[in-house]
Amino acid sequence: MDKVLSVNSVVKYFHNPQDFQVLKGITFDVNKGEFISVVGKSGSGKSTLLYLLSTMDTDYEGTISVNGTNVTEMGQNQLAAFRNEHIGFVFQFHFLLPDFSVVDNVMLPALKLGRYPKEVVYDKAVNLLKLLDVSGQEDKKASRLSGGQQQRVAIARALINDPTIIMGDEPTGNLDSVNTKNVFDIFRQLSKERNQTIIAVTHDDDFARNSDRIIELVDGRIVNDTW
Amino acid sequence: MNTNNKISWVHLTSKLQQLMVAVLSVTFGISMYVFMNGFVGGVNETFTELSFTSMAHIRIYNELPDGAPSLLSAPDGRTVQFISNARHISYTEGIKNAEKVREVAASFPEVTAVTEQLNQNVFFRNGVTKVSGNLSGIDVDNEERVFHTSKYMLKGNLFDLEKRTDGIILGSGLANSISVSMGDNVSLLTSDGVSRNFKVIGIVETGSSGVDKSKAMISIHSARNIFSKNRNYASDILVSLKDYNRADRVAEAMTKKISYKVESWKEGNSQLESSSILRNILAMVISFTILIVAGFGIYNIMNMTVNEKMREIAILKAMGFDGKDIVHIFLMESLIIGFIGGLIGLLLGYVISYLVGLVPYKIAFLTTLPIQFRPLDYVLAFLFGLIITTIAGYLPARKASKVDPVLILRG
Repeated sequence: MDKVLSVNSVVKYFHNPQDFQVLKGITFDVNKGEFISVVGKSGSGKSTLLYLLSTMDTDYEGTISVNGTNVTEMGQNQLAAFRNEHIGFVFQFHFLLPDFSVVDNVMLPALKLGRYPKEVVYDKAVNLLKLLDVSGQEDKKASRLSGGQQQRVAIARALINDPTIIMGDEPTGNLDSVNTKNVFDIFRQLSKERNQTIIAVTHDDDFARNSDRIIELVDGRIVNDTW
Repeated sequence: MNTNNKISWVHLTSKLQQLMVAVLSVTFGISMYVFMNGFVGGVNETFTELSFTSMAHIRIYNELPDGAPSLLSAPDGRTVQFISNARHISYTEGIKNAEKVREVAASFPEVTAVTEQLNQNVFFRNGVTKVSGNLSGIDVDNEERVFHTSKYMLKGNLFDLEKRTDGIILGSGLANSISVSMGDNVSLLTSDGVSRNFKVIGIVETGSSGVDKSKAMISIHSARNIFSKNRNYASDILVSLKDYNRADRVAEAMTKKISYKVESWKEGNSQLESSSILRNILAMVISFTILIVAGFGIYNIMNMTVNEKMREIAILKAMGFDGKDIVHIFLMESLIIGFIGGLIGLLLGYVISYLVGLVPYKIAFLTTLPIQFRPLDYVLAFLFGLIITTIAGYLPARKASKVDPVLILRG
């Protein structure tokens, strides 16, 4: 199996308001195509861990490798480029750019990457929107869609660069049960059919139970890692 | 279109009202810059032109020797020398070989025209009214070339002086004070006691009242005649240059070839130059203040935009846009504002200047308010506008680039 993520004795402190150790030596590997839920109570450090994995937070000890590349040693600008290419992010709130059209929102990361010409990116974005069942809304402003639709557009945006890993920070946290099921099904399908690696932090027990692997954090330590 | 530019453009066009306010502040600043400088430039030009109606760029004359004449060689340490009531006994007045000096002066490439004058203080008398004034014997053709005197003729024709040896042209104030008008007779009384009658054939008004109250012109031939001078005699030789700002240097070069005193207009008229410099500084200060206020306006608006878009910036960073991209996006926005505002500002500045230039203002040779249209003002206004919007936009853009996405996205 291809190893796409390797986390080695990661330790993280918060310094504000006082020094506090959030993560106390986290070590695990992720293989390609795995659908992982990270669970734990508030303050267990699960979100903190996800932001470290996303390369946005660089203040930690230990090493993280994505796709065989050690990202711990990279500078901010290198990391931005790396993130652009390898990591797709889905947030609790959709976080689309409200003034842009739906299709522009999906295209942005790919235009930034600049690997394909604009026309190709456009076709790809339209296909992704179709896959996620939000076709026909391409030219609407993102702020005009419903919450469930916006979250699906955000997933399409996360997928546009064929990232190594999709990371979700409570991706269903703000959705009703119908849309939660929708988003879960999409992740399930992506993992199964496209062999897409997914790591999602969640509070939702159903969501976690139905994923491939559950990593449970308590007080900054992994207490449970079940396939 | 570049992705970053596209984001800038969407930001701008999604908030049209804000864009308009920002653009207007630049427009106002730049149009004021253009107008202020055009106006002050026009005023300066008018002042200079006014003072050059009676003052040449370079004046050549025979200077009275300074101090007491030295009859005896300086005494050695042991002898005391008393000379009381010392006076000059052999002083040659005026320039005797005027034609030669004129030729030398004219040989300088910077020189555009040279004329000679014979100036004396005389009394003008009409009946019992007696007024002292300054009589100039002028070489009409060259006088016109140096001073454009015909432009200031209120009545009569300057060139009639050539034809009429008994003709005189009076300054408007002078004509008034001895109550004569065209065709009247006026009698001159020189300091040597010679009296002569002249007919008024013209009235001149330069706009400088000191000059207008004392100046009278006759042809230089008549003047030489009255003062019994030979035909090569002149009291002053006056030179005009292509560029009056170079008068100092030209005068210095002439001094080496001419044995008389060569004086540029700047010597003894430094108030003219300093007042025009002061006016320029004032215009600069005012227009820069306006531009800087416009800059603060842009800074404020961009700062607000950045604060509003914190979350958007964090998302862009999460998607892989780096600090440079963010600076690019927000700097581009203020550059576009500066560019559009600048162009409209130039146009508005031109229109304002044009309209103000139509306002009637009748003083001296002016008929409307003086306004200059110098391309350099427009180029500089645009340049300064862009520089200030760049600075005003860069500060918020840099702040945006330093946003920590984790902090914003985790809430």
